[in-house]
Amino acid sequence: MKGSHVGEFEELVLLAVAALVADAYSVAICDELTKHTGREVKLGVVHAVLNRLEEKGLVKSKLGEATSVRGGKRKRYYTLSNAGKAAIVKAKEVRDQFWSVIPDFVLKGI
Amino acid sequence: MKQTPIPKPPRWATRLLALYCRPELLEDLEGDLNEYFDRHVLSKGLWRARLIYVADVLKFFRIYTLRRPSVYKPFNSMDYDRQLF
Repeated sequence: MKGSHVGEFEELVLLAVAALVADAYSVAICDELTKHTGREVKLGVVHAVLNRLEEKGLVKSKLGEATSVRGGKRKRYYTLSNAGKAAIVKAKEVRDQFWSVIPDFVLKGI
Repeated sequence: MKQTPIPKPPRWATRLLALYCRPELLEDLEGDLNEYFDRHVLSKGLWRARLIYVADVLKFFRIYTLRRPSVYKPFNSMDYDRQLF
């Protein structure tokens, strides 16, 4: 299905959204990605990817409640759509299949 | 006792963001930039935090954040045909 393929970074963003559950907003997603990948992730890049994922129908978003932090600006929270959940499950299946066919000797000595 | 003023990002940069950004994205982007600004003030100092804020406002100038033109009337061939006949 066109538009359901996800790139590597898109997959990571989807995984971060899934991991954060109810707290998946852009700054938290950046922090989660930085924590797990070990490389600094730019806010603008994450925003662009989230926008693209929403256009593809893989995530949904809604504005949260107003708070006194962030200059009073509300956070936009993201959740996986059913298509988004299917996309990351599919991506995991593909990787697991590849891992299962790699002979042990290939990775010896790491 | 004199209170220390709360550090704020450059107002002109915030106004620039509001000028080009789509209204439905503005609050979220501004909030994120404010959150990063507060972090950077603590970790890097006020001057660098303001510099980073301005750079981020400029970096957000992308196709998906830009306001759409307010006057947009797609060509409708039925309207055109109605005028002719």
